[in-house]
Amino acid sequence: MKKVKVQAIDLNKTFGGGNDKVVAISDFNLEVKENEFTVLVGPSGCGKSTFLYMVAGFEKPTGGKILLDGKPITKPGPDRGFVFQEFVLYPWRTVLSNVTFGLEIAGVSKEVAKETAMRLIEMVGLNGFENAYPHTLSGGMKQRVGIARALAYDPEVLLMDEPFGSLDAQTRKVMQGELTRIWEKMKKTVIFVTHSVIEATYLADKIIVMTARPGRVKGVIDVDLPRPRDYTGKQYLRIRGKVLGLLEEEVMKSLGKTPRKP
Amino acid sequence: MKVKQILRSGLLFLTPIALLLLGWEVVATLEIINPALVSRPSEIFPLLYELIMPKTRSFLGHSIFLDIYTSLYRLLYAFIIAVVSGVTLGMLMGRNKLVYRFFDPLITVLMPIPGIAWAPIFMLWLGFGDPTIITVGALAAFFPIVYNTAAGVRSVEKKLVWSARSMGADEKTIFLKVFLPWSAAYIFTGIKLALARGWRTIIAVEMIAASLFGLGFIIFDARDYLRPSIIYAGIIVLVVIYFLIENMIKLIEKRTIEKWGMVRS
Amino acid sequence: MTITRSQIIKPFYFVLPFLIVIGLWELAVDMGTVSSRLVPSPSLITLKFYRLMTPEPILLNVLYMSFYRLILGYALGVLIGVSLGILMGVSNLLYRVFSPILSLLISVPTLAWVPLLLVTLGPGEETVIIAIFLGSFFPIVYNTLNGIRSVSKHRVWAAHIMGADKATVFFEVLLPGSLVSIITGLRLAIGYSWRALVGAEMLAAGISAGVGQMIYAAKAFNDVEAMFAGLIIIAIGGLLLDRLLMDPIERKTVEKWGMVKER
Repeated sequence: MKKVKVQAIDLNKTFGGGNDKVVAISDFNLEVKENEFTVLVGPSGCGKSTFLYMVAGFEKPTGGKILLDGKPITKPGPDRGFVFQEFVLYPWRTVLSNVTFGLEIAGVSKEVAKETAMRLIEMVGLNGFENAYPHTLSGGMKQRVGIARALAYDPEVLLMDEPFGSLDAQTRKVMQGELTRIWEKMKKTVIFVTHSVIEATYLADKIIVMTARPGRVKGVIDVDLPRPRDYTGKQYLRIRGKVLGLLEEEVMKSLGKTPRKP
Repeated sequence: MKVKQILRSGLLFLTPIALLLLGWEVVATLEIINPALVSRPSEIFPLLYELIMPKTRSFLGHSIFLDIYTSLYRLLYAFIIAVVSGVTLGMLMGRNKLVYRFFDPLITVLMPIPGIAWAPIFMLWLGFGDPTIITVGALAAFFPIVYNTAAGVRSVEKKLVWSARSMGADEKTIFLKVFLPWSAAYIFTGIKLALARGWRTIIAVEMIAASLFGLGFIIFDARDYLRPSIIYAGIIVLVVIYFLIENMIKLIEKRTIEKWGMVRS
Repeated sequence: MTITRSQIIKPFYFVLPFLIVIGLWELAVDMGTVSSRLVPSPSLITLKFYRLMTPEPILLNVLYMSFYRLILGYALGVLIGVSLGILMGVSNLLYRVFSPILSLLISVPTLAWVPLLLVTLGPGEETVIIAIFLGSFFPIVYNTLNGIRSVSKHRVWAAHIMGADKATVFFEVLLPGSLVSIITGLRLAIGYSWRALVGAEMLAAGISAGVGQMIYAAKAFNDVEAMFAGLIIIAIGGLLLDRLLMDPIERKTVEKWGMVKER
């Protein structure tokens, strides 16, 4: 029985106040198990990224709490790693020094940091590019750096916010395969946010479908298929259909709910 | 709710300034710094009032509005000359490679010359007063306009022209309906820069080339009276006018460029 | 290293318009179309340059004095400007307190401060140097603080989650991220400083030599050749400052990092 790594208890997040109040998440309860690849799907604006930001410590909950290994999360720290949709690499640092940044901060010696970083750079398939500057890389390559950087300091949990959303369809597919390959090597606890059901079904051990705003957990679907998965496999398609069914309802709700600004 | 917002941002803006004025008054009254350097705001503002009213016995012998008016009409003339000549040449340069090749190096070298550097030569040719001031002002304003217009026209994407051609447009229509609107944003940037540059140059040139009126002139002239309050008053007037001009431009920008989603900074 | 065709053509095309203009100019004056009392011919101007360098290196002295003032004023502007800009960029409180004042002061033409400086500091060197300082200070503060404030929030977050403390975030994220803006500020400042130098030298009656002073003094003697010579020096000076100083700095940093389009 796997241990619970991340836990959200009666989570609540509200933005603004008075007339402009927006309730992003409410009555949100969730359990993420260790070494599991958990994916959050939901319609646009359902608060899935907001939840991720709270796990990361970038935003604070308005009510309830989030626990990591039983301890409440209060601010960002190197026990978690984050991969952004827009990559957020530092343009003035080479690929290598982007990846070693976290290790530098942790005070690791230069040699050890370089070694660790090179291992990761090789693992994400960027061997030979360690001295390149980010602006010379393609989108897919940039995100590989992002992933390597987040994993370099060996965090407890890896958080990924629509990491392939900025990539074209082909690169996206390639990256999904790559991520599976990388994850199989490390089996980190991952919380992955996306709005693509195809992506979710391909990557996840467990899919969590969120409702439209204010977001809460609508349903949890286990994906017990071996990896790497087949996009055309019967089982895969069945699960995908199930998730889509849950999701479509919420997407319709969110579209109908969208107020027209005067 | 919008009124509340405006009041709030206004307060946010004014409070530090009010504090500054208060601090200024205290420092000046306590004579922490040499009184020859610093006048009290409480002296400056009544002086401003004096300077504005035409018939009072101010140092100037005339209302400061006359100077404001003078500087502004010089700016206007200079600006018009600069816009007409600048946009024309800029468009020619943008469309014709030879014209561009000829003028671009000249502009590159002449543009960085500060406006006042031209003043002594023009004073020799045109004497004191309006002709020199307006000409030098126009010269200073000319360069940003020509530069930006040329850049704008040159930047028109080939495909925009192609699509117009394939719809049957002739050269004149292409110029009016493709080049002109596209470069409008660039020209506008050039105009903003030209206004700022022209204004600074005119005030500066007035200091050496004006004989009676002009904001630059009176500020410079006031140094002889050893009463810095006039200088401060003049500077305050400059700030107010700049503020008004800037907001006027912002308004025009909102109604045109921003509406078309073509903002450039 | 062989010289490529384009390396010869580009500078040639740059110089050609000048040659044409100078040629026509010389012709116009020599033929009497334009009075040489008002517009000196290029040949006379060249002669003037020669005379300014021998037997006494007047020109050298003029340039020395002007650059001396420029460097002092600019350095002061950079030091105080960047420091204040960083403080205002990092501290929200300082920003809210000082930025209204800043935006008021920034709208005053630099030379409008000179009469005040003349009254308080006298018509000598200090006035010119402080005028230059004021010219460079404002664009530097403004661009520095904007640069820091516009660093993307996500970049700061990425550093936070890797465990960075405030100092690390400042030195490793905010500072490099704002470099583009800071350099823009430095660039603008050099142009403004040059302008302030020339203007202040014309207005400050108590200085000995300088590029601005030279033109102004030449006018008193109706020495048109010297006036044009001065103008040419001012033009070249301004151009060189921008190209020789700023370009290499840009190339080594923000261009290399792809944060700015390469030219």
